[in-house]
Amino acid sequence: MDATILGFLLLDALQNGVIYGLLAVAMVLVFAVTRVILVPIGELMMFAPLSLVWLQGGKLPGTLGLALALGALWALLERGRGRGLPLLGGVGLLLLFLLARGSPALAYPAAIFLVVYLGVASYRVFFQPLREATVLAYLIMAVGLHVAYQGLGLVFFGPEQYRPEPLLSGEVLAGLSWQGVLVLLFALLAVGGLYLFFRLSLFGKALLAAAENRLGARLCGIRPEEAGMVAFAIASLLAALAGLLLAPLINAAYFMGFMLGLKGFVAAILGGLLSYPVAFLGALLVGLFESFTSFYASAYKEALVFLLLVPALFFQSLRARAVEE
Amino acid sequence: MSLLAVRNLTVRYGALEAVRGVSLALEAGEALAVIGPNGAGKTSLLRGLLGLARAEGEVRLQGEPLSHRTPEALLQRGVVLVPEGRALFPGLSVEDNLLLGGFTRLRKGLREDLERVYRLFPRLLERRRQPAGTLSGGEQQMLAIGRALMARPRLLLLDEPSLGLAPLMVREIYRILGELKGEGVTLLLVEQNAKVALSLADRGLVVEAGEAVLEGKAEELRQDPRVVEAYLGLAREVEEG
Repeated sequence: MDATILGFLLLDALQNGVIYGLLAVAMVLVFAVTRVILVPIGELMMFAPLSLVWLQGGKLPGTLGLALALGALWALLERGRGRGLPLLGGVGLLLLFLLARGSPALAYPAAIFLVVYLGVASYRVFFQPLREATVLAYLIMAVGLHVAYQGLGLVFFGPEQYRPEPLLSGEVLAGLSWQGVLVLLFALLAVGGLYLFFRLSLFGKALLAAAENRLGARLCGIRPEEAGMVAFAIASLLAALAGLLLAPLINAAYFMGFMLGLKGFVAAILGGLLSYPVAFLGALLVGLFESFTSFYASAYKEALVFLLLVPALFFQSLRARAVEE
Repeated sequence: MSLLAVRNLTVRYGALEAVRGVSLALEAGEALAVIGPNGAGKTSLLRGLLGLARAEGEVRLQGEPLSHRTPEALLQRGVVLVPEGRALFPGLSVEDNLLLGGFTRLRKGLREDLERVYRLFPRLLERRRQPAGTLSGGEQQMLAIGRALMARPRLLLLDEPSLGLAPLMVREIYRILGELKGEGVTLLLVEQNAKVALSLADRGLVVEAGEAVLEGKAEELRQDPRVVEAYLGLAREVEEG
């Protein structure tokens, strides 16, 4: 291997690694606050660029219908003033999509808003009614959602891959596009922003508090359901932004989310689903491992990445204390 | 008009009636001690009051009936619980725990309230950067009371504040509860430790097997032979030192 190839592999590793890192951080956040392992995060991630492509082509994507349907269910589940949020959000979403049809610039905020609204509505409709359920029940629901959303992705967008226009075109140097730099910058900003949010703002600490002790949080006036919604909103936002930035580099398709999400999950597991920095480092490790195994043994690349889970889980099982459910 | 009036409160868990038709009234500035043995339904009474357990019966706050009770809604009306087990946030610092106690008020007057809590509990000031999970039991109880005070309660509900604490720490906690009472905070105190509870309270209510069996002024209850025998017996005197 010469220096050029090594350089390519490292850049590839870094670019993929930060994306897995964002997904891992989002999963750790959602798990900490709600005990849900957010398997469908990959689908949420892919819905953003695919909806964008549809909007830029002047069509309304099927995801809009899905989001509005779930929003309507959300509104039905709420009582009184609680209905304001889903109804206003749904109307806003519809208007934004009608305005954004055929407008390349407006399509970006529309796609982001769609994914965030869909993410929060999914939490309210599918997970919140299961409150106080076991982690296993949440996991079954999450896997079910993942399968459903992936299937719906095929119905809405077909099996083809799409490549949206990059926000920045051209290359900084061979193997590193400006869009790739944008991805790196965004990842750094997002992780730094989350760190500051949890370290400095009382609101971030309230989310942590809801994760640590439900009763204590309620006694402080922090509603665990609202904390869950905020966690899902942040995770969906991260997924949407990452999906939009990444799609021009990897071609978006309905089935892409699963692998990305699963690798983010591997990284999150390396961090024990608890630690943001370890999860992020784990993601970089996954990226590195993947890029080098794909060079040496490309046929086994995915299998080798998931092999990482074995020592990680073994190590976790050694150091884990018994957790009461 | 009473600050808090409870009529015929019944709390059921499935077929089990943990609380059966208990009534009580609490004037503003007063301290009421609910005493009784382990499993008598004292904690369930508080849970039913706050809407943490399903309850029947009428609860009025300043004459206004509260039908759909949640801890969040009662917090807005100045009713705050210090629960048994304390329900702190062990991974967050002492100061963050306190600040979250004032979460619903956002920034208004949070700093002054923090200073007030630190004046009451200088120990918490020393440890304000430490994770709450590393505190001793007594310090955690101080933190739980401090966190409740950050919400500026009119009515403070305390569930077994002396449970599991060393006698010296119990005295310290009750000294501070006495100070709060002096400041006009109304206290509803649930305690197994009848002796210390009745020394602070104005009135007492004895609960046994889910029912209120005896009610009266604290000093009268302290002399009542039934209470003396069941709750203030010689064994306890020795145990409490």
